[in-house]
Amino acid sequence: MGNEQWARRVRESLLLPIAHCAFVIGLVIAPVNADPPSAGSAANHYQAGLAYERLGRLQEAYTQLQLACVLDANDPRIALALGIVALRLTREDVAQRNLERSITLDANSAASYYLLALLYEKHKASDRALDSWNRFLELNPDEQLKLEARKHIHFLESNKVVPVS
Amino acid sequence: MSGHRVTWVVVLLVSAGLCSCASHQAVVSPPKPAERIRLLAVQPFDGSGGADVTREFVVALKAAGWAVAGKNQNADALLTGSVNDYSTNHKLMVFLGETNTLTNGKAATVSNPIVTGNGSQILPQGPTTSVNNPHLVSERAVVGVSARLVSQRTTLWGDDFSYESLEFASARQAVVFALVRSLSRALPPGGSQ
Repeated sequence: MGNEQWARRVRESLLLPIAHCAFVIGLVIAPVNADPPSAGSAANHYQAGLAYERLGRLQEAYTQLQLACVLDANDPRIALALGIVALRLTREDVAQRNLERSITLDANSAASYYLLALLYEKHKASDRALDSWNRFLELNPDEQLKLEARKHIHFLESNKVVPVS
Repeated sequence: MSGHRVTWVVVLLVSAGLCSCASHQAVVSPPKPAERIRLLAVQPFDGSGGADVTREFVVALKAAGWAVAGKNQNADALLTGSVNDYSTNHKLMVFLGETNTLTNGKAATVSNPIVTGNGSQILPQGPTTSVNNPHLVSERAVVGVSARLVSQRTTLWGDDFSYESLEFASARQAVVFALVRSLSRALPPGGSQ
């Protein structure tokens, strides 16, 4: 009898406040996929997109990065990541749009210039490809890729239009 | 009398000129084998993608003004070679955000650097904005071809070229176009000009 009362008192006095605290803390720190959208959820979608990309699940990565992009249209990293995944899924319109946006948001985004140069070359936009290769040369320190850029510049300058077979 | 003398002088001058021309011609080396080349045969290229590259060469050679021999025709020279690289999954690593890099001992901060998968001289030191060092893989196609033109066991021309693109067709087209242009510069199509 005494024990039961004591136990009830302990539950009422200690456990309930602890449980309340735990619940409140959980609400604050737990990842929430809830509405309304916020900058925080854009970051979550961005991280999820990168995680899916690492697993090779490109379609899921694409969806997550699109959501991140909708929620935060001013982050050049999100635009670049979406551009890269879209390129691997051969969604070239989406890729080009987002790579160009990543450059609008960050004019020094080296990878964006590299990928845009290849994209422009594929679409026979030689002048834009040349601009992108030259900008890439200024920004990216990888010597191997610099050699590649110089080769592409030489090829494009000596022949502006590759004949279509 | 003086008219005869003038005539003789003219005759002597003309014959001297002819002699000098004849002696100059004798110095000229015999025509090179390349100058007789009008018809090329394209032998299937070795290696992965060889059939596609061979087809591309036939189209590009014709576009550049070369005559390409059919199956039962005797050609003046044989175009042959190998495909050294024909892959779509050449991987590149893109580091997202401002990234501290170390290249040949030089530290620099680069926004969204892209590096080759292997043998890169860049060592990303981790982005300044994140502890997670986020990165993505990007892929490109690479086609590399070695080609040579052979006539009577003599190599008349040889070159190699590789090119990167988002997909095979563009890379292959660029490589073949560059090699045909190199060939046409070395040996203009249709023989001596």
